[in-house]
Amino acid sequence: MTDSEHYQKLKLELRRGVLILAVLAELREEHYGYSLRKNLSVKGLEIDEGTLYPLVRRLEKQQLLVSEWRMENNRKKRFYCLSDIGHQVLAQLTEEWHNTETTLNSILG
Amino acid sequence: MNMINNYLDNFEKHLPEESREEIREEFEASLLGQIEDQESQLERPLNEQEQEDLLLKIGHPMKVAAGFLSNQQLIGADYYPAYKKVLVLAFWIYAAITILKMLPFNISLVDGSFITTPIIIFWALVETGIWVFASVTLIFYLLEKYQTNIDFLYAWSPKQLSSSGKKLSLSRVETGFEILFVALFLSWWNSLFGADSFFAGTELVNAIKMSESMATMQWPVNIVGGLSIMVSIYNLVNAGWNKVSLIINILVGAADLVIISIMMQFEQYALIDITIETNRFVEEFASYILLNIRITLAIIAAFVVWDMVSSFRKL
Repeated sequence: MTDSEHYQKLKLELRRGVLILAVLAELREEHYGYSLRKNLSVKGLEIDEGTLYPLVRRLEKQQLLVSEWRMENNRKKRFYCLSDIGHQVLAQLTEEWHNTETTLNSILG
Repeated sequence: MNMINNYLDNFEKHLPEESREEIREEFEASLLGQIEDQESQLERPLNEQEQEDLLLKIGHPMKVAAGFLSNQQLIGADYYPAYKKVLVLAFWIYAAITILKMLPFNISLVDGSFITTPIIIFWALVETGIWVFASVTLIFYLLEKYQTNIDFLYAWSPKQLSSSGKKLSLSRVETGFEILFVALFLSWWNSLFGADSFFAGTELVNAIKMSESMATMQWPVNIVGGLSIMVSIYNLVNAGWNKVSLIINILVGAADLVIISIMMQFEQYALIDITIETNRFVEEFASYILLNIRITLAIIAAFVVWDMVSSFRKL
């Protein structure tokens, strides 16, 4: 495995945990699949369909999200937003993120 | 939009049946939203090339659909350690049963079974291995699919953990070879007393028989050999030596030495019936038995002593 391949693999691992936090945070506002992906992309977090949609469905299964099918522009879309549990978990994860960031900053120097 | 519809149809085909329609609808809404977005930026419909580029960027429909499958591994991480352990244990137990079942096989000087028998055993073990692998994998797949609790397989206590130190470690290949070797030896040994098999098809059938003193050793050797195989299987199941198996191994070794020392003192190992017309080969074979059995016994004794010392050091 080349250096670049190692880097790509480790970068993916590093992103994997962060992705959940980013999706939960973005879903404080209601979104359907594409608008969520677009918003994340605009803010600098590119995520492909094959990763995002299964993740959103999993989070809904874990009751962190709620969804609703609605018509918009003559098309049926499924809108997601944070559930009450999701809001609590997001607050805890955000705090944990800040702690981790502080810790890592002191380690990285 | 034919290309887009074909893509969605293909995507749908790879989805789990129970949620196929729902996922298709959701993905379709997102994909069409993306197309509309691009079209509003370009202020015109996407041409075929642009549609193709978009779909290529999203990825193969099968790969995208794979992300929606709940279980993409045959055996997931939670079940895998137990699966691996059960697979290894089941294989060694079935391998031992397979070898023991084949013990009374025929070894004949005429048909060259000394060479073909290990090959037959090898293929029987391969067949056993395939069946064990298929069965255990299927069982664990179903256990995981129906989320069956297998916590009992992980039940443990820090006090009961066996030492994994180098001293008590066990080579599975070495132990497996030992079982195979002892089993083959017992098979050969018993065939010495069954003239109909060992000498089948030769003039030796009626000319040579094991001596009476050798005959008295047939069952002691079988018992000691059987115990040796049982110790090896016990070690394989426990994935290592422990004090009990070490002590039993030393005692079995001591019994081996007693039997060997008794056999060394025999004046005759085989009897030639001189009333039957014999040929030169028979006479040569008898002297060969006398000389070579003693050499073989000495080699086995050396091996047993080495094995006992090795077990003693591990204690």
